[in-house]
Amino acid sequence: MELLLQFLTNTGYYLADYRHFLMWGIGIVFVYLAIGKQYEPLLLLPIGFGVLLGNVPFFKGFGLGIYEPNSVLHYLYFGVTTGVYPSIVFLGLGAMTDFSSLLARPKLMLLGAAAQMGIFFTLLSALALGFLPKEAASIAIIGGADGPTSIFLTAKLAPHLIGPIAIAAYSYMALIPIIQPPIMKLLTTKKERQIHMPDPRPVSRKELLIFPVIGLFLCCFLAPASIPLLGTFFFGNLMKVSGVVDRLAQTARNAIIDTATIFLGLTVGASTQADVFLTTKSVGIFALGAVAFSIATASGVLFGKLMNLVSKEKINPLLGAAGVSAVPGSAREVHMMGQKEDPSNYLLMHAMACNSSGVIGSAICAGILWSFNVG
Amino acid sequence: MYGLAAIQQANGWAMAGAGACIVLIGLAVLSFLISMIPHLTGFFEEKAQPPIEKSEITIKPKMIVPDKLPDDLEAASTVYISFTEDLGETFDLIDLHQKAKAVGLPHPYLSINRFRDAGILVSVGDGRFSWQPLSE
Repeated sequence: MELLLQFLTNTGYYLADYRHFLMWGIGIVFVYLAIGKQYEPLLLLPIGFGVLLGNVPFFKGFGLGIYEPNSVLHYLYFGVTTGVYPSIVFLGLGAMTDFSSLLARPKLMLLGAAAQMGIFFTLLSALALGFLPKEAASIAIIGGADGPTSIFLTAKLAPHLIGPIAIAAYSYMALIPIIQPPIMKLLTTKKERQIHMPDPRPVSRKELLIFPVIGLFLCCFLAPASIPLLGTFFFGNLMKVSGVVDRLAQTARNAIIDTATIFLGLTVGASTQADVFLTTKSVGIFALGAVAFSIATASGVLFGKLMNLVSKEKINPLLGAAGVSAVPGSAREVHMMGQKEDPSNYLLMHAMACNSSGVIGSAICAGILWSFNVG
Repeated sequence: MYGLAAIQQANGWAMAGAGACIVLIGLAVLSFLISMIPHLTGFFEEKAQPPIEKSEITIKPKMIVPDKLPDDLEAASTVYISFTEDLGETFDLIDLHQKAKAVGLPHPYLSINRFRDAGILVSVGDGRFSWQPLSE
């Protein structure tokens, strides 16, 4: 009888409190959004299930929890805390990305830079709300709209905030269709949204080959702290465009990135244990994340308008919204809004150019913020 | 500590200002360098060409490009065919477009689209195209 009682007191049903059920509610919403609404299912399904997994109550000291040394989840989580998974994801991203539209119209890269202003605005906001500088930098990077970059920087600067920051970053990425369109519409006129972009010029193989080398040279020399992300990113891209290691490029953009995404999502989800996640800081992080994402979108669009004022060749300012690095969600939104105003307006490949420069921009920002906060 | 004092204390203004400037300047320089790549590759390709012997230089007859293509599609296609003979039997649309642009034919996109719609320019698979004059 005593044995049975001991067993019962060790079950999750006995140990659970309201916080666990609250987290289970959040996890179920994520899983529902992924399966039912198909919002970013590749991210929300592993994260959502990870939230459920991480919030199964257990007896502390069994070596089961993600924060308990030598547990299986702790080993899997190692890839997050060391920044290994984000680095592998960037390798796959590089092997997927086609830079030809960016190379054909390099000035679109400026939109990718402008959209990073959300990061620095949020940095100030987070500091003003009382977050410590390292925490504020980790929260600010949500404005880059890049999940792996957010996780990477947070793992380096404020590992205790990985859960809420990752959940906020991925949630806002999934909510792109809700967050971005009203801002784009508010800041542009109908005439601006109807601007057609001329077809990009054909890009030679040599240009595609030279770009990753120049990119690595410039970005990683400028912000060496971005090497783990941009180093693998440009290497993946070189494998893709070289055409001599198709098998490796294929593996990087399929099996490798998929494996990393599975473990990244699952362990980040599992890191949201109720006692760590349900704090007032998490509320602040979610609020600041929304601000960061909105400011990033707005600054990209406004910079597009500014470029139209000073440049002879007009660009569609909607493209600025694709300067955040949520690939390809934000590019898709820009294209759809352009088509809504004029069905013959094809903005997708131009928006993808801004998107890919946004990936580079947010990784540079992560490197800059990391180097500002070293020590 | 909260508000402006907290920003001041953490050196926030400098971090935000410097960070924003670095990323803007960095990507602007990268964008400039990217725009230079075609010139760079063009320069080295020119250098790599073997010097042409004077005696080898043959004066090609200057091509006369019409200001306006004939309205009749088939007649217009003969102008295109004559200018693109050196592309071979089958060719990529990009090459055709570049060639048409290089010789200064008006509205290449529009014309190529009309040829495709009329079945004068047909796909032969693998992304290659060939001429199929209507009279054939």
